Amino acid sequence: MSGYAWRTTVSRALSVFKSQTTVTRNYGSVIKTITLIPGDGIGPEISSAVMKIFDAAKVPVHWEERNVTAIKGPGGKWMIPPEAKESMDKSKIGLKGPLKTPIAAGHPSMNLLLRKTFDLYANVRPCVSIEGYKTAYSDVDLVTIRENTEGEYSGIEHVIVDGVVQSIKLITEDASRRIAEFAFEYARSNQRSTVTAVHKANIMRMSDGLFLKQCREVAENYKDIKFTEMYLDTVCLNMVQEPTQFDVLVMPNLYGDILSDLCAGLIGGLGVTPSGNIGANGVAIFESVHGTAPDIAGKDLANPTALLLSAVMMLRHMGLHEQSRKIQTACYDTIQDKKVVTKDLGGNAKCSEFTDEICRRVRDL
Amino acid sequence: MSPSSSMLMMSKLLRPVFLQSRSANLAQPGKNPVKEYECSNNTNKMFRMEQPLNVTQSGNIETNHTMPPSHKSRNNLLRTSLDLYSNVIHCRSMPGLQTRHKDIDIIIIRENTEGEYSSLEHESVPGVVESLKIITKSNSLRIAEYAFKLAREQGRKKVTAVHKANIMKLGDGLFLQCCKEVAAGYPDITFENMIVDNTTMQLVSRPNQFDVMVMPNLYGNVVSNVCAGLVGGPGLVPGANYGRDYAVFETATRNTGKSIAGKNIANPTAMLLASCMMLDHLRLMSSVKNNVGRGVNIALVNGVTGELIEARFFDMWEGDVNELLKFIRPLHEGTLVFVASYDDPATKMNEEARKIFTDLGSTAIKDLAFRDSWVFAGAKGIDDKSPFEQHIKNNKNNNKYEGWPEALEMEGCIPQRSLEEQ
Repeated sequence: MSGYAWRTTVSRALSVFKSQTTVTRNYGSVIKTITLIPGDGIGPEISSAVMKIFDAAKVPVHWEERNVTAIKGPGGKWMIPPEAKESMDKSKIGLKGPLKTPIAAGHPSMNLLLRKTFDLYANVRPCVSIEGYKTAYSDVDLVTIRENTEGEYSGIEHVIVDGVVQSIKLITEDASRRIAEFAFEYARSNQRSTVTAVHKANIMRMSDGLFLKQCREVAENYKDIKFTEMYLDTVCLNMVQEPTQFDVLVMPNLYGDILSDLCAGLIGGLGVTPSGNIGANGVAIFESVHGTAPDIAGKDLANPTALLLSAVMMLRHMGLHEQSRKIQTACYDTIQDKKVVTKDLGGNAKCSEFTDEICRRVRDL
Repeated sequence: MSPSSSMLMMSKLLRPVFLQSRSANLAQPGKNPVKEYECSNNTNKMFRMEQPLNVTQSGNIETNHTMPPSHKSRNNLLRTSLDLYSNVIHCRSMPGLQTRHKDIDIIIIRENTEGEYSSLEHESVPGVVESLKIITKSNSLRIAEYAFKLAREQGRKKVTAVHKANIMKLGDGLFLQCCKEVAAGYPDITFENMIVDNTTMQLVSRPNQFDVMVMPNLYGNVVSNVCAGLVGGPGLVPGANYGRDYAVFETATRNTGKSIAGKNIANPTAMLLASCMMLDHLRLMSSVKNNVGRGVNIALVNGVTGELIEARFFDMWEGDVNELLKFIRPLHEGTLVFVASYDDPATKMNEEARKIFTDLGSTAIKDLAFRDSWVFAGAKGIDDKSPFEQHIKNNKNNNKYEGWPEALEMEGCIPQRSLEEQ
């Protein structure tokens, strides 16, 4: 991602929805504040691993740690702590570790709250095969862009009569248009050639049809990018046989959920997959999508790769290409070397040892 | 891809199954569209199917998704009007085929009539569309029951329910709860559940952990396509749609293959295997097993619903009559008994066995030799006879090979032929 150019063009595109003056800043010279949300379970240890590696790479950032445990605001509505919101609104960039999903806490999941608070409408997951971490699939290089606010996850369900339940899938013109715009902008700024809309309009004619219509209309303004449409089942079928044929995929919520995890599985699982969430006001939160792994928390066994690669994605977003390249290369080389890697990557090193090894390589590069 | 290549193959077999090509145009008013899809069976002297077994083989019908919503998917209409509630796909690694994963053997059972495929959509406000996903307790119980029964019959160890109940708490929550309820009645089978996104991730990394999977409609679509891709692609895997009265066999991934149509490069394997599945299915109610002079085949049919209770073969050559007695002693009132054999079993029948058959009303017990299809032997119970039993007991001449098909179709017995043919 050429972060600088990307940010300005996206802001320009988004100004259609929210009027906003774009302030272009050269992030290379200024110390940038980043809101860090360590999270639960293994979150704190992998966050400190990332901070250590950033330190070694001399990345000009200042970390502002915040907690996002939900509190009840005035009016009884659940919300994230105001300090966290304030920090994020100011910095616009966040890095988040895994958050515990509460079962009987009475409040919705924190991920959902974050999404609603900052209107994080796009979930971007670049899936690139990691050399040195062999899976059954090689040369995967695709990006899944998932609409993250509506669709099947609207949460609207009713019991019509006893034994009959209805769940509502909501598709709106605005949200579909917004995600389509984002997908094409992303493709353009990242030199990707094709955008594929994934849908099931043969069955859900009106809802997915509306989504498709918006994608088609937006595609008209991006003649330099090839636009194709494919059924969800065909994408799944082809993805497990020949994933190299896909480039950028854009889709509604549920299909995005399934496909992004499918693609993560192709490259090695959630432990090595980066993820970014883009919000309406220029807010971007990068996160690791794996769980909190409570069984290994605090034992220095965790693998920080997912959070690290998400942080690298964040650096690219900010325009700090040199540092992002250095850290990514160091990380990939360490994994390829296989000498000092954590258990899930095939070795038996501790988290701190793995981190130190990457730091060493970063300093040498 | 038309079924013509498999029709060609099947005509070379000795089994005389006659396939009639039918187009899936929607019905004219006054005509029942369902009957267009029947497969009629050829009658000939050696092998005679005694009833129209409502089975068909079909290729996929393309749904043009640029048409307005009133133009419904005809595949979907076929499935819902015939109530083909269970879509079964067996994905197996094929020997000799190079794939990334080896030794896959997964049976996928997908609910085929409701869920996201209800086609209920409306635009509540301009620019806002709502699509309804319906989950019902009865359909969920039905498909779960089917899955566990199939797992038991095939000797499978584990059933995994695939869902997204953490997000769709009521809808998929209901489905999961139904699966759990049914699982309680099958303690010999391990029951697990997995969220659909994790399932797809596991399928591409470790597919060997899965055995039987059961899920609602849309997830079934995704998972079956992923599994078909894992074992070699859409040209290889057959699929079956089962309902209470009908069965339709097709390719598992239901592709029309527009881009390769007419070029003579399509792979007919999936369709061929689908026709093999159809032949296996037909054998359940029609021909007799071990038809080489060894013993007796007995079928018990519910006299009111016409449903097959059980059909079994008794080896009178190597076995003894006690097994037979154990089977026919405890008959319920109203059970119809049909017998077929291909040799004289009479030498091994003892007094008690003969008496049981005679009491049923069968005068043909001596003539049971050399029969290769089902003959009505009689019915249990004297009072409260079904119309069929009365008919048979009053017309001794009909208790024979020739008169059988019509007699079986009387009201209250096995499903009737279409109205116009009566």
